[in-house]
Amino acid sequence: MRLSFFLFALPLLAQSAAEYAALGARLLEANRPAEAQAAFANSLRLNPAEFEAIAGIGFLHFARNQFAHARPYLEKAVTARPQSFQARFLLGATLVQLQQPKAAIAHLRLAVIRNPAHQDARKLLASQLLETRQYRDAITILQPVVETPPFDEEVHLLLIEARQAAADTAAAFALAQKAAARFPGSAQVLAWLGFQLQFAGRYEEAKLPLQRALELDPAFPIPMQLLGEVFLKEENYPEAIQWLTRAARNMPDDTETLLALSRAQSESGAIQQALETLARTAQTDARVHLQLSRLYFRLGDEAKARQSADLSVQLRDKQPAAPVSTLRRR
Amino acid sequence: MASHGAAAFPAAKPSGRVFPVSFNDVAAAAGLRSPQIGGGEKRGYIVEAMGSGVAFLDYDNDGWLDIFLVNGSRFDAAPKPSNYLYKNNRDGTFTDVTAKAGLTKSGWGQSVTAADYDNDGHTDLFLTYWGRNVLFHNNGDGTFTDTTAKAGLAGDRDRWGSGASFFDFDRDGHLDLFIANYLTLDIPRAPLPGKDATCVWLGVPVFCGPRGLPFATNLLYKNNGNGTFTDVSSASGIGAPQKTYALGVLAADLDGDNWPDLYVACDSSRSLFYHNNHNGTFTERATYTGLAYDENGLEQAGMGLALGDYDGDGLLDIAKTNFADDYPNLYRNLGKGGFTDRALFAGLGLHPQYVLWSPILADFDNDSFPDVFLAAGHIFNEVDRLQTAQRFRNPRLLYWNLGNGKYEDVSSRSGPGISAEHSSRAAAVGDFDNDGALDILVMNMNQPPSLLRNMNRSGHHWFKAALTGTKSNRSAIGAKVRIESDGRWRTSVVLSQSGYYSCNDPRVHFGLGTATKVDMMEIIWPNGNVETWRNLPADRLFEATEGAAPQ
Repeated sequence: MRLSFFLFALPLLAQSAAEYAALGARLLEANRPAEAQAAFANSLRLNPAEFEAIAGIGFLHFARNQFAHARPYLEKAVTARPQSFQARFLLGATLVQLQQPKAAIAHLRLAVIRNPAHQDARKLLASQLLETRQYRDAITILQPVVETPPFDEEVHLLLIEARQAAADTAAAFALAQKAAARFPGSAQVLAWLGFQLQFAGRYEEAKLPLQRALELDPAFPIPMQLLGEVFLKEENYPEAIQWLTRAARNMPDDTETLLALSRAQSESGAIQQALETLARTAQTDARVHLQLSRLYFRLGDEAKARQSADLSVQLRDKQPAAPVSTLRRR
Repeated sequence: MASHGAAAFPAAKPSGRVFPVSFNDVAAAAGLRSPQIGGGEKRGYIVEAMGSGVAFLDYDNDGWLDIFLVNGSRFDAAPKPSNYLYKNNRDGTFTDVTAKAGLTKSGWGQSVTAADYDNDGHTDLFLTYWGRNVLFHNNGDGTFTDTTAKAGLAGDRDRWGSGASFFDFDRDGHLDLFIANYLTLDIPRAPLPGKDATCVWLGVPVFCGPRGLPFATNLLYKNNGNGTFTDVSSASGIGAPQKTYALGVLAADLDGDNWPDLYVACDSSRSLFYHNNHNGTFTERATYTGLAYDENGLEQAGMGLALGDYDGDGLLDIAKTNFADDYPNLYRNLGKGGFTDRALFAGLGLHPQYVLWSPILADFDNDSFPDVFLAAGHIFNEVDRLQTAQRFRNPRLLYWNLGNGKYEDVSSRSGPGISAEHSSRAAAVGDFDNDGALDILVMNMNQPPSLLRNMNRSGHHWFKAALTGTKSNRSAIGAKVRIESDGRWRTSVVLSQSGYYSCNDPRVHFGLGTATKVDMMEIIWPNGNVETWRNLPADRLFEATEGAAPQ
């Protein structure tokens, strides 16, 4: 009651830009954003260069998901006070939301230098490095904190992905095993371990963590898909079809899942069903048409097979980058 | 070279079984001391990196494998080396008979295919070159004659002949000839290292190609039955596919219709599967049979090919090697022309850091399951200066077939012949000492070859068959041999070239495990006729002549 009265009275007491900015900050803390914005605006009227007010308005826009509006305030804030961790971090996070990873990475790097202990800044930077395929850099950012208690699940997940994508598969596998011991109740971690085991060709072992992940989160589609792929590799097509169908129900637009389902169906002789599954995929993916060409050939329609093969090549030439085999990108 | 950034596939749990084979390099002791040359130490052009072929053949019909080595060349002023023919002395040593045989020839030699093209009972040689290819006719008296021009194989211009195979595509009993062509390399016009993005690797200027260099098309020559050949590349459809850099070649019936097809491994471009239409023409079907690209539809840098029934289902599967940062392919034959790549499932994805060349699918421990040998070696000498896991010289890779569709990497426990580091290219398999264990001959860049003698301690039994065609071509090239032993069937084929640029022992070999006899042997001769033999003893060479099977 007393605090509330104090905050109510404060606008009457504020005289200077700094005082209005400080008031805004306190109102923010009290979760009164509209009043905080008014206080910051008053501050800027008195001094357009008042850092706390600029940063405060930037934060308010960020909190409201108004990232385009937040950006100029936060850029001004980091110009005004380059040493500010908070402004850097917020600007980096804003640029992430605006899908400008290169600029985001630059600011997040500086934020991590300013405050190396800030896990969220580190994780956000690592996620952007992964997005831009700078896997080694992501490892450098995450490795120093992965062994620091209290253990952070997301740090583990990001580092496993970075190791995997950087072709350091042995380290990715070892970390997945460690993560599974540290976070035995995490469906995400268990899915990663299952992925690593199936990648290592240890199909029977892979099934256990994947099934456990599904016990923990029955709607989690990734373990369903991975179980489907394991059975597909084992040439157990009925089981593969069952799991991949479940995964496809939860991820109806996922090309990887539908392609695997189509393969399982065609291998089990259900060519028509395999064609129907492919009809549900993005028709811009070269792999879809490659699979289509094989199905048409098996149906004895060589003209259509050739047509699909040609289209596959055309599409591939437009999107020549090889897909990276990681769990998160699925 | 197409690169996929592939990660090393983690090894499966060890089987705990002991691989009973060890390979020792006995080349020097056997008298194989002359190097096979491929350019100088500093390579300015891609032709200096490709290596050259090796062959096991019996040129004098004495029942013992002789050795032929194709030699490359160099651009500097050093003396240009010759090819070599080594006669087997039947005591573990060989004698250089090149000059006596009339086979002295230098040039940028590439591959070798060996077969009796004129059905006179003597094995002839066809060599591809960056330049003009050469046909050497075996005179039957220990000498050879260059009959290229007389046979009509001189061609209209210099090309870069790569893989080649004698095979009887029209089943008329006369061996025809397929010649793959890699690319067009015109030295005065060829770009120099570092010229553009295709001539830079990991930031270092390297020789250019194949990407950026002009493509070439492939050739098919029909044997006229009178010692001459006719170019049917256009009429047959063989010359139709464009935009490929063709290297390794397999000529065999791959889709089970008893007519020989062709599969061509192509570098940095789609690979080609020419289906034989039974009427003198071929249809290219690689994309929709699963043999053109990797499973993501990406081009691979294909090098060499091997054929064998690795899973014992009676269908011929294909092993294909690729450049580094990628995995080899193990194409499982699904029947009717369909294939699926099982390399990763089978455990062959452990070493993507190696540039792989000659693959061999052969049963080295005679346990009745074909193992996989892979020759490795980088193309850029510069790689040793870079921060990368790749090296110019590498050990060979040997994967042991566990009999359940999986392989175990036994490279580090298969003796010094496997673990020795070379920059290898071609490799051929054959039983040069006639002890029933398959040995390996390997080409090493600018070094003498390796002759890897198989010290097999398994005690397993084996069976070999030497085939002679009478109605079919005399070398029986393309004959499919199926044996049944202990209730299991195994399949093999007589080829005139496989691996990378190489020629294997023409006798088919089967490991029998603990079985002491072959219950049944079925030969599907190249003309489609089928003959059957029963109750053949193990640990013997059986000589099968077409038409001589008991009725």
